[in-house]
Amino acid sequence: MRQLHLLLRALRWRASATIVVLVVATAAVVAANSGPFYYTAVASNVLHSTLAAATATADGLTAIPSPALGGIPTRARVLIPLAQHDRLGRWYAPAITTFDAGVIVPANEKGRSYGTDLVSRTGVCAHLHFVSGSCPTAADQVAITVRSAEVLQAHLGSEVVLVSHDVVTPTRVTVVGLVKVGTGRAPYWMSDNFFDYAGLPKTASGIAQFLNRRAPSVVEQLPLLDAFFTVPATVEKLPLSALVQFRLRVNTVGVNDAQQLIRASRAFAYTANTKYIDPVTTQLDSELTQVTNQDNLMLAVVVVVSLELVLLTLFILFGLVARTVEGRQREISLAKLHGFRRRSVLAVGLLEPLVILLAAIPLGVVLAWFAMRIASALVLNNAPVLFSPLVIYASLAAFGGGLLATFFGAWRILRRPLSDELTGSEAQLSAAARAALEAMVVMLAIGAMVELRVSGVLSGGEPNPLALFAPALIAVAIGVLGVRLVPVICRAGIRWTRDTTRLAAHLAVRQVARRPANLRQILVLSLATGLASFAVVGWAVAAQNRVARADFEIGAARVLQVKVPVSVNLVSAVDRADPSGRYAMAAEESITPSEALLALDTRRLGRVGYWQRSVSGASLPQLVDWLRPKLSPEMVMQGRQARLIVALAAPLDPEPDLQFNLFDSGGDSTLVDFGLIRPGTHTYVASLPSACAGGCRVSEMVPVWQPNPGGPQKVNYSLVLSSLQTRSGPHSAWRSDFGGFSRPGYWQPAFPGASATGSPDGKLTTQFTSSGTELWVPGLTPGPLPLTLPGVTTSAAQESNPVYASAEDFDGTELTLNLSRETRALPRLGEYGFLLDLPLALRAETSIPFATSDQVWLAPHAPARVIQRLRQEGLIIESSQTPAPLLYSFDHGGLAFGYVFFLFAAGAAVLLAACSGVATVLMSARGRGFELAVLRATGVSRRTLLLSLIFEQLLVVIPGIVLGLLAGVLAAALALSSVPQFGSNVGAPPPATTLPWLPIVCTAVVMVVFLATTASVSSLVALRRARYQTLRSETS
Amino acid sequence: MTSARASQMRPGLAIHCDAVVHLYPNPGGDVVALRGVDLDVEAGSAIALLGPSGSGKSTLLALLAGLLRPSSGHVVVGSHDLGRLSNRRLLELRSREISLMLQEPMRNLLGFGTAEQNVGFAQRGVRHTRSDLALRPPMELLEILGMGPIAHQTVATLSGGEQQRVAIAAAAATGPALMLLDEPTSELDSASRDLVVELVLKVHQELGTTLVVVTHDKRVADAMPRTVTIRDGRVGAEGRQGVEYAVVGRDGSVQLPPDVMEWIPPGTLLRVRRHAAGVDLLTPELESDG
Repeated sequence: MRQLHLLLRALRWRASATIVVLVVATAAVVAANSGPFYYTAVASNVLHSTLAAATATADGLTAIPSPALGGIPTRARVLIPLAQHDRLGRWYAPAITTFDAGVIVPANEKGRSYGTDLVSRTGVCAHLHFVSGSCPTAADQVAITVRSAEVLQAHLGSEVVLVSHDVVTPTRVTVVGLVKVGTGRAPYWMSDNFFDYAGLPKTASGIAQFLNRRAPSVVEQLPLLDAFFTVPATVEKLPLSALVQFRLRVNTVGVNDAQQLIRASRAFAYTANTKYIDPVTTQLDSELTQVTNQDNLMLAVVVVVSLELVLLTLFILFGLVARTVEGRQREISLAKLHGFRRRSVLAVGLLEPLVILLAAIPLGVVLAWFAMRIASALVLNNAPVLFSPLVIYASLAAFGGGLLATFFGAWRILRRPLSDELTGSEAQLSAAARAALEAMVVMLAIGAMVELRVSGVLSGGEPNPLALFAPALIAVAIGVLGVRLVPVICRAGIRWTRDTTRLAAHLAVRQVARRPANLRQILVLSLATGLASFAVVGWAVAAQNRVARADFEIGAARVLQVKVPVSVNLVSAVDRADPSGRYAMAAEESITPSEALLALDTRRLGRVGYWQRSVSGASLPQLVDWLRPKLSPEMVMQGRQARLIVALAAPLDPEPDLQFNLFDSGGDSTLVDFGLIRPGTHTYVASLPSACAGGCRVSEMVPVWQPNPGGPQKVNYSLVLSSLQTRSGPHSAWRSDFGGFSRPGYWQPAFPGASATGSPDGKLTTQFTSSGTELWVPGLTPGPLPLTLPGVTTSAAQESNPVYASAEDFDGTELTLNLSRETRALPRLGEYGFLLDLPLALRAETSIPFATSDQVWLAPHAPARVIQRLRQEGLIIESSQTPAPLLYSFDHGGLAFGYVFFLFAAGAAVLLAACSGVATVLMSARGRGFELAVLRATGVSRRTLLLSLIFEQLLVVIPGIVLGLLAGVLAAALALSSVPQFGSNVGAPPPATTLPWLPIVCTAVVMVVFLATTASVSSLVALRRARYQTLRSETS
Repeated sequence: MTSARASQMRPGLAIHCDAVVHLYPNPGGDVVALRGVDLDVEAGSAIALLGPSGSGKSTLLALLAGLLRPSSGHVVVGSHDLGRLSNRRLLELRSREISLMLQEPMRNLLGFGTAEQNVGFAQRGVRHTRSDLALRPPMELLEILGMGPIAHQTVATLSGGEQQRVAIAAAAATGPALMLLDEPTSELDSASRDLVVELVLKVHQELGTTLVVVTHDKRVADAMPRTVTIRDGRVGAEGRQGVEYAVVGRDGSVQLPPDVMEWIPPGTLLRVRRHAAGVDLLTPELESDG
């Protein structure tokens, strides 16, 4: 009890030192525990933001009941209790069952037909906004959108006839409700779009043509209406598909639930699959794997950064304990003098710092929790900050480190012989020992850097969180050199400042040269500044890279998903909406399991899209030149009639039917038939489809010859074509649209068995070999239609593809691509895919594109009028995509939070360094009180003394900051390319590592101002001891 | 002092220094601090060590306290040849039997502690070693030594004289058999010095301890029954009851007092003439004068 009392008196007696050590020890505990607390908060945040960023379909479970074992509706109803059995209800919302029958609303009196979905979906009426009428409650009742009602000219009570495949009897439904057109974005809809109205209807003849060509996907090829919503009884009598969906309630998923959740969902999927043969789809596994990867990377970053911060703190603690133990030197000597045993002497020397350390642990843990709670409120969406076993380990580690720092800090004093106390010699480490120690530290730091380099951590290849050690290692090495160098410079400065007019500077350089112990602060500052500058640079670069990557992955500032009406040409529409070419660009994207194709109007890519120069060795203009070779003009027929002079030398039996395949401006395929070609030279007239009023490009010229049974099965014949002319009406004048017959080499064989030679007199001599046994019909293709499209592919795709590769075009036909240009990644497509020029790719279309996504990319500052004009051109904007959500998910990813933590830690390091500087000044001022008082007594002015103290500190602070900045920048140059910035860099532009100088300069300025201010304030405080009274109360 | 306590008193320790030499190692050449000191101090007696600065007094004190080991010769305290004792045994000796008070009182005290706590702190070494003898409670000791009124004051707030007295009380806290005091009255005014001298003698008498006081102060030296003057690392003179005698060294050398040196400066030729009543020192001049 007496000892405790004495201890408390000692702590109170040295209150300032006690407080400083307590603050630093607490800071060490805070530093050690911030990481674990931060990790728990961020892990929860990353989990929820990743799950929230994914679509409801990706997170949720979607079971597709199979028709086996009792029919789809029965199967669907069996799946629901199965899910409950697997305890999915803890995380998933109640099942949503959807019955969906694809139906056709047959052509009415105006000759138009539509496709639509007749949908029954659990609880749908709660998610529909009724304009009039009510929710369907009985069979054959439907609710439809006001848009569909307008197209069908239907109203409440109207009867609509629906036709379904394989059902002879049409279904007649009654409209009982009219609803607003929804967006389908709410989680309830699970990303299924039931509001996919598809614009202007086609003519009945067009529909018939589609039905003939693409029978398997009839409904999909019809203009679509928004879905008709009804009750199960209406749908169940039709051929239907069904989905049973379970929406994940993201907020119910805890950080520790991941494995349990995966097990439960897998159990459900397994049972559904094996017992009932119902496939279950979800991307939850990959989502949670992604979260785990992010967590692991973040944890690695947090651990490395915490370790650096803790080591810095412990180093400061070591210095302070060494100083405070020096203050207790007499007590230790006294203990030795009184014959205390070594254990008791240790107790006298270490009890105080140990008690402070013990007090710092709960204090530090609580402060760390509060700090992270505030950080969570500011940047982590109030994510819970939880206590975990990591906190205990970190506290123990901090205590252990503090113990070591305390022990080593006190060791010199504890081992000091008592006889030295009698002779009054100072307990200083010998110069040789100091030099050896410092050399060892530098060698260790350099050795560690070399190891990082040799082991590949700093090679710039695979990112590795260990690269974050680089700034600390370099800063330590440079800082130690600074500690050695500054006294040398100051010694040189003594002569220079000997002039009495520079007394303050002279006193300062003398002091720094004379007392190297204070120079330890250079190392602290160098380390703190090194960490801070690296953190700021790393954070700034990572933030830029996140933006660049989000931009690149989306492609442009806004990507509009559009529906293009059949008569509208996307490229032309965009050209007209934005004649300047600066704001909008047409694009088409086709992603299938086997192939990803992106076609852009590459003329505009540089100004509208986000292209990263680093993805390719070639510049963008070079790639565009490659993708858009100079081609002859297309062969276009414009008008309502066409005529052509054809000469056939010998009669053929049967006669060939000369047809030209055309492509209208909306991308719709059609043909013009000049009829049977008779022997001799005749003029043939053919009608052009109405869609060709604006011009149709010729995609192929085919003489169709079908042998008669019993007749010759193969013929060779020659046709000489000339004078192709068109006119817009029966009474208009004929005009020559095209001079391509005279161009040599313009016509190319589309299939074997055809050849053509143009002549200057405008006659095209063709040669055909037709056979009834061949699968193809020999034809000729105009030259501008590239048979081999230039394309750009990715490095990864190039590895598995020859330079000339075959790819499925947007219309499903095979294209030969010349892929001799490659990039590391492509916008929107990532690691695999092909980039084409859209206008060129469209020339190669020979039928209607399908399964493609029509897009308009917009530049960052695209004016609203451009969108307005796009609408005026007939484009229907279905949805809009910007990089913002992706950037949000990047910014809320584990690594981004790791960088934020690094910033916090760097700020804390700078603050600690400043505190350490102030403490050093104040503690040394106590010992220098006599000296300062003497100087004052000998006539040195207070101002000069203050200036000398400030100069003295600046001689430590400025080199510390400069060396730290140097270390930070050097570390950034060496290690930034190896620091992980994303979970994976595959399929993305390589992260930029260009050093942003503005943040570096700002860091330097802030640090100089902050530390110079603290130096000035602490100098002012220290100067208070320069009083005459000190001369009386202290001995030298 | 009560009789019960007196019965627990230990007799003072005798000191025997035999040709003690001590060198301080130095890169520029070892520094000789003591050049063959021969000294005997009886148990329970008190002596003052005098001598100019740098003469080796403090080194001798450190050797007597077992803080240094002699380079050659023997330092025997009681029955212990200190040069041959283990560190552990030396610690035990310092914890109980030998007490050293350093120059400047605050070097012997915990500035933040009270007088009572300081005395208690000094006794902690004993508790850690042996407890065959009961220790006097700090407060009781302070009362006996007349420091009861300041027992609960923080020593840093006491006057220099009071601090010195508390330091002596702390040195006496374990009832040591040998007390070594280094300059106990330096930086004190005459009134405080008298109080300190009085206290030192009181402790010496009450505890029966052997007392060795290093001092420059004539009043302190006068208060001691015996003085030993160290000059140039040797015992140069010894005073008994106020009369100073030169000491003949083991090699027959004699260190003359400074006042005599004025008469017989270095380089003077001397002849020692022995006769029945003693010896005469004769210079050539004296001999020529007859």
